[in-house]
Amino acid sequence: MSKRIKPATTAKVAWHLPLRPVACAVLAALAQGPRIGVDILEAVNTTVPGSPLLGPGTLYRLMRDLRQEGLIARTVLEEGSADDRHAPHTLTPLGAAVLEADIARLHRTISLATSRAR
Amino acid sequence: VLQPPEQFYRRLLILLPRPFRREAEAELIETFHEARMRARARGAAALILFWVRAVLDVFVTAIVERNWGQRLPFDVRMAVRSLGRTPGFTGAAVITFALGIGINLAVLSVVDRMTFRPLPYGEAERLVYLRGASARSQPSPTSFLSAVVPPAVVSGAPGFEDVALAHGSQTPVTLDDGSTLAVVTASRNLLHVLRVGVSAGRDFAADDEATDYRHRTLLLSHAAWVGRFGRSQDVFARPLTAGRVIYRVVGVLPQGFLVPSSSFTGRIDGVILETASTRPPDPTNLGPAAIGRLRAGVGLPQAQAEVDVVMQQLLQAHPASILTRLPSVRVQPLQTGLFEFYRPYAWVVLAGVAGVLLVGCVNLATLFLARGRSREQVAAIQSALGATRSQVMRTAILEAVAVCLLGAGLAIAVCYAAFETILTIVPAALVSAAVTPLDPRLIGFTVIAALLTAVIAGSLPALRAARRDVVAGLRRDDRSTAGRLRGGSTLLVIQAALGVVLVTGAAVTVRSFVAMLFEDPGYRADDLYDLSVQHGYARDQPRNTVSRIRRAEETVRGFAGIEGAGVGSRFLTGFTLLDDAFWTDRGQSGARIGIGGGLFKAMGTAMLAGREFTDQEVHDAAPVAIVNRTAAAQLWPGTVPQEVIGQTLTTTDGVRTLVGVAQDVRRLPAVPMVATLFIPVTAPEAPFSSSSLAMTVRMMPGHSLDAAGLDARLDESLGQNTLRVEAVASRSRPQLQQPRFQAILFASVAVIGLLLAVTGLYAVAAFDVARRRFEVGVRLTLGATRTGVHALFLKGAVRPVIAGVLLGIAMAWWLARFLQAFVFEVDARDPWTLLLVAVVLLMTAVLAAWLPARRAARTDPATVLRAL
Repeated sequence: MSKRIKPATTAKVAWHLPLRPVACAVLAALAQGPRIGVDILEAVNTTVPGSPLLGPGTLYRLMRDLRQEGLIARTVLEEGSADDRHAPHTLTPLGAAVLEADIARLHRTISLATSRAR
Repeated sequence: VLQPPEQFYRRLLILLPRPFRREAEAELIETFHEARMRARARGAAALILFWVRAVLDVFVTAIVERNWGQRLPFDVRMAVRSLGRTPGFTGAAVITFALGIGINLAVLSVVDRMTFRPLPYGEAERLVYLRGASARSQPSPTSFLSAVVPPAVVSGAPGFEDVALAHGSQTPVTLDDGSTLAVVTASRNLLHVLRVGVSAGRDFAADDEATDYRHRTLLLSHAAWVGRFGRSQDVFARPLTAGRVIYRVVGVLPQGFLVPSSSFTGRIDGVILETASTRPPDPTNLGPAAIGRLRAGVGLPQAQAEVDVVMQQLLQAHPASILTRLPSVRVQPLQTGLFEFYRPYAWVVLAGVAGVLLVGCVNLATLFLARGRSREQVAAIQSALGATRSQVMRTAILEAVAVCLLGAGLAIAVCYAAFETILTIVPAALVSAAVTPLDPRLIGFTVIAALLTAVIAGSLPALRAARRDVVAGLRRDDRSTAGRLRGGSTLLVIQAALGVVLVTGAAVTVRSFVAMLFEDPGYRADDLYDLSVQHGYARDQPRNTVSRIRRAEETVRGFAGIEGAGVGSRFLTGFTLLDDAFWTDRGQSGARIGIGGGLFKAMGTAMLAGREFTDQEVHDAAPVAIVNRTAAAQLWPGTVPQEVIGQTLTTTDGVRTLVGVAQDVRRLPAVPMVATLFIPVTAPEAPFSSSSLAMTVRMMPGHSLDAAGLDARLDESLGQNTLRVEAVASRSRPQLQQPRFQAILFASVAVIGLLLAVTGLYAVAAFDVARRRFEVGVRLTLGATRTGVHALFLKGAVRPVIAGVLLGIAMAWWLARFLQAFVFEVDARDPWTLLLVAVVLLMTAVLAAWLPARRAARTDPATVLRAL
């Protein structure tokens, strides 16, 4: 999260915003380090009320989409590992940037809403 | 090696498209296994939730990955178009399902609150019900509690935050403008204890409590406020008057407020505040069961233990009081307590209607199976044009879904439109707990039931359609021997069996209801009135005295139009404790009641032997006694009434001489007779009511009782009084509501069950005839007679019904044990009833198969054979 975002990637980051709440929750779960599927599932299901992550299937589909968008990636296991499918997932630099930008966006929204509500 | 749950999950994954499965299966199963282990560690509830979510997850993923969402509009159009082409079938199927689900919805809206729904109060899990239980070996809880208990619990049981009271039985108040208000009395803190707020105005306050009967404070029900007063705020400023009593409206109860009392008697228009007592609570008075709110963290066992201690102290403080009759208090969760008397009944009713839904499901499956067979050609054309198997299946299932959803929609609409009508046949006690059919929970239930039925009823023909041999289908091969409606007979057997069970249930309940209608209660209810003379306006008054009783008798008997009157201590309508010491000392159960002279004559109750008390005997508290027939049989078994006159009985006050044996009086319909010892009401041992005098009055035929005039006359002779008058006939009518509802419900259940069985049977028979047209043609050509063909088809259709009827009789026999508790003077296993039901069902089956069989017999062999 402390990495500096290069100006060239700002446009890329903006393209992914706003994140869906469940995608945001998955990225947030990975922000503390690489995790395997069941940990992500549990982290999201305990933090997001009425979580739409029902089980392995919905999680898998979401992770696949996030992988394809380049926001997360599998960690590389040691050389010669036959199957990398069980490898934990981790945030890519782009994913970290998008998460940070989305959190900032949410903060702005909340402060705007609270200032108007008063 | 996978464990069984993972193996099951893997099987389930077959729903997913193959490429996705190949790529993700290993990871999915691993995640599933890990998550399952963690859920298991958290307990059973977490594990169940996990399974529900996991299975749902596979379905959702399958729908999204297979892109069914996009294809859905097309498939739905196909299904609807194909249904539209056969309006007869569609109509029959929709109505079939609508009937099955509709009666379930109607009944569920009435009993949901008693069985599944949480109570509509705040933090309801901390609410408990406190009710007195008698001293018998099996303490059965009553709806009453000694009046000293609630205050003692508040002060002596630290686990209780507060205790409130709500008198369940409603009292109609006739206002000066002629309208009536049905109200119940409650303590000031009722809404606070229930954590319920008013929807307008304010709650009762401390200074609302008056010690005077004439100034009452009222909270209107939401329905009465909207319906009668048009949401007007004026109602708070303008008091309502009823004679000398003034009702001040201070607030409006929330919408759908449920009075927490196990003896609720219907919809109420409001709650009035009980009058404040000027004296400490009287241990001889019985109040209603109480509602307690426990402090957070206090469990039921602790609450019960605390109440037990309080009761011990109370029993020591008041040794000779009503407490000795209700020595223990049972603490129950409020919902259990409120519906204790109705819950078993609710389950019987639910089981009855669930049976109808089951018949409807089976019937729908039969209809779809027959339809699937007749649509094989269409399916074959679809396949030939390149439709995949899953597409053919989807169309078939979607047809079933469309039919079921249409049926559910129809059922909801009809139930909503007819809701008020439904409520008129529902027992009043259940009305106040009923919820509208438009309730989201009920609609959710209906839709889920519809979808489940659709999947079950549609999948069998769908599988059949997908497996179909395309070439044979296209050739329109009528001679195919593989064309039997496999599964059809089994469905008919099930349907007939369920039909027998439902019709037997109906026959038994209807007979029981009729028996109840025509039973002799032991008195004549027409022109009979129950009077309750309250002393003065304040709550606490001295006991009745002989001179008071004498003056009351003289005044009432001398009033215009009155044929006869007698003092009866809550004789007909009140409740009596069955563990009276006179009877328990003899190891029996029964009641002891104090009465005056002329009571039996006024009631129209025959004396089987001897005579009733004279007024003189009553005024002198003479040592005499009367028993009813049941008591005579219990005390002197094997004697006739005449022989026991003159016998002596030892009671609390000494030796009494028996002067009469009275006919048994059934207090309420279908209530067992109670052995009763009658003594003069003036006897020291007679259980007086401290604040009121009960009398029974018979009017001369054609005369009505002028209650206001009599009230004024009693005021003259006795001083200030409040008179309550109730017609005895109106009292017993509500008691017939429950059996009547049961009879109507089971009768309609049986009719619907029979109708469904007829449609199913007709569909199968008609299908069979259409399929075997060629065979019939050959048979007729080879010399079979038309009668023979007719008989052949009738036999074929009726055979599975016979098997079903036998199965049904066995089921009805077994289920009778549950029904027996709910019927009156009827044997639920009566062989004649079972025989009659079997005959009715077989006749119905013959009728349903008659038309198709006749059509088969009229087949023209030339036409059929030419079609070759």
